[in-house]
Amino acid sequence: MDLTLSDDQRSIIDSVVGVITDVMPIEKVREVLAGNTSPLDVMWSQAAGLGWFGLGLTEELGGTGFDLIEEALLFKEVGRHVTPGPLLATTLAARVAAQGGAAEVAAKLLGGEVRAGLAVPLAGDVVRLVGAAATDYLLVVHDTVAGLFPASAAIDRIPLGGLDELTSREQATVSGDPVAVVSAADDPIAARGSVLVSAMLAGIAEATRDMSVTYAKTREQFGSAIGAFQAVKHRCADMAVAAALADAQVTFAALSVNDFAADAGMQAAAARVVAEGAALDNARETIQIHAGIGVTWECDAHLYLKRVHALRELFGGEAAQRGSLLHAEPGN
Amino acid sequence: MDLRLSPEDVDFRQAARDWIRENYPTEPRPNDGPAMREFDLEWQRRQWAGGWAGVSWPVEYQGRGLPVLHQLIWLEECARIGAPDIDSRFVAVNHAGPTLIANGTQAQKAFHLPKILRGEVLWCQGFSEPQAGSDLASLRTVGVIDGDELVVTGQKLWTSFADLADYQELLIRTDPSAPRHKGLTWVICDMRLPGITIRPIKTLDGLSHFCEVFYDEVRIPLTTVVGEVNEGWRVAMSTLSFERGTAFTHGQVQLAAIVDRLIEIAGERPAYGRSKRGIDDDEIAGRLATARAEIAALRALTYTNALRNQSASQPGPEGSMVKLFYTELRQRLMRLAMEIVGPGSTLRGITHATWDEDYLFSYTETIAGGTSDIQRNIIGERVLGLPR
Repeated sequence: MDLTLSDDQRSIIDSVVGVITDVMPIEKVREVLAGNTSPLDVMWSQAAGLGWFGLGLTEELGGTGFDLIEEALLFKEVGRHVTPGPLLATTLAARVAAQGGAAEVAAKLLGGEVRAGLAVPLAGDVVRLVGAAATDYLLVVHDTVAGLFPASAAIDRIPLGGLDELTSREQATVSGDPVAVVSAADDPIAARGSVLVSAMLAGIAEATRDMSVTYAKTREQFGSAIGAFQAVKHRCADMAVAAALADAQVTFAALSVNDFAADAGMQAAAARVVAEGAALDNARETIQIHAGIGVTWECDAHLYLKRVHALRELFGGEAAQRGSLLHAEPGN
Repeated sequence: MDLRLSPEDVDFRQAARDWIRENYPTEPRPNDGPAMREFDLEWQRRQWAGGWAGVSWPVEYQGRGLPVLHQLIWLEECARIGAPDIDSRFVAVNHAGPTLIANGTQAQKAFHLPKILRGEVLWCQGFSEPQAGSDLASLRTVGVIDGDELVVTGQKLWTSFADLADYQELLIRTDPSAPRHKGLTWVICDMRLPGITIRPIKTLDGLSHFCEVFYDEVRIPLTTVVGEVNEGWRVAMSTLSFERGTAFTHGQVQLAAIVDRLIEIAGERPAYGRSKRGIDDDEIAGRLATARAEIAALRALTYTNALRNQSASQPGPEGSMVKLFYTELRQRLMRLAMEIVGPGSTLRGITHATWDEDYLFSYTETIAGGTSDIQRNIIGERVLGLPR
């Protein structure tokens, strides 16, 4: 057992952080938010060039040959920086295309020429499209099977509201044939997707903790930095504990799912529950600690809060996690 | 990063599992008193005889010198099979031993460490006082140097197992004129010395595991000072960080066992005062599921901290995160247990004879070893760097 970051893992994190701080810092995120998509296009070509979409795919299938844990490290940074764009859907779609025999589609997804959005199955052929605006493919992920469809397969698209202005939501009906299908027995796309959602949530929990701590060290009231007051200090401490638990459990989940471990389902569900709680609680605390500033549009806290809500509806809601946890083998 | 155990780790786990199954005491553990002391020491002696005492203690002090991962595996295997928790041996094995290894003289190590590992002695901890609880550095028990002895006068409070212990980690003020953290000394006190009076205190669970201890001109040899005179704060802090490292591993496995049992009970009968089976009640089922998730995450954090810090000479302040979350989670879980089984249940408890006792005991854990509020201060100041 080894829980320390390898040199490769450190350089993956450094590289991802380098790209994001260079081409998609928070000011650029806000440009995207205001409707200018060109920063997204710049980021997309850099991400593709650095192999982000195939990080966890084998070299034979056009990827870099790392594991789910390395993808989790990448997506933790995506969460931490509220990076916009259908990065997760495109990563999973490339996997499905490559393994489902659609090599050309896979190459285009990996190369950044096309993008994919997610379709969350509702009932029958009706789906909720998440982050699928202006994408070329749709990835429909069921627990047992994942199918990649051309965007034209979605008909009767109705825009839906949503808290996160950076993540589009629509309702649609999917008809027609998939270009590639992968069964969960061969590759658990839903489980991988859930772990990577948890990784983004853990990143949000860390980012909001850091925002709060930085503010508590600089904002002065009653003649001292507010972080000196236990009312604020203890909130920060609880945020630190929540973020540390989420990070540790996401690591366990990523390694377990990758190894097809016997308790992988429980570990992944635990990661979702703990990371969702940490992200939501920490986003809330960040608004509270920033007080008046915290509820302004100008403060970044709301971007994190809203992203948590956008992520929560992906790959199994609370009921699904509850089932996996209650029916896990006793004595983890 | 890799979660898989190596073949050596798997062999170690199997050997530990086999040995524990053959050797752990299966008779009920006495609740308190000399019978409990004898029971706990006998279990320690058996571990020593079997070559399992001090799994991660250095070989030169007759430990096994194995990596911290094996220590975690050993603790988990003991807990899984239902072997006794370390409890009354905690201060000796988890505090005093590591503190002496880090700070003791050769003579102190040679005398005390074998006695601890061989199950010959129990220790207790003399830190808190009536006026020095969370504010430990304000303690007032004084030690005056007289020739080659310290003459100690004062009072300690909340000293678990003082009435059963042979030795005590005693923190006293030896320089009243120095700044409060600078004038303290950590000394080994023989609990049989003249001038010591011990009065047990009854706790809310009806038991008397902790005591108040009075010192009336107790003469303690200067050779028992650990570290230097007036350097006791540093030594005490190393002791406390050991406590907050891997010390809750057994308890974490107990938490998992508690949830397993509660899920079983919730599947068999209606929750207390409700009409549905607990498992069919959305609110109860949701809380049980969340508890399982939190226990898994606590284990992941414990392993992560332990394996990342194993090269450090002593655990860092991150241990406070595990201590805080573990004790608060245990209290939340026991409250849920009360809502499922109800008070006065005749079902057998997990760590005590009854669920009532398990529940009441959980109120002590968020206080002992530094309250949750003090842990939040430590995390805020020493992990996050917030101002004092």
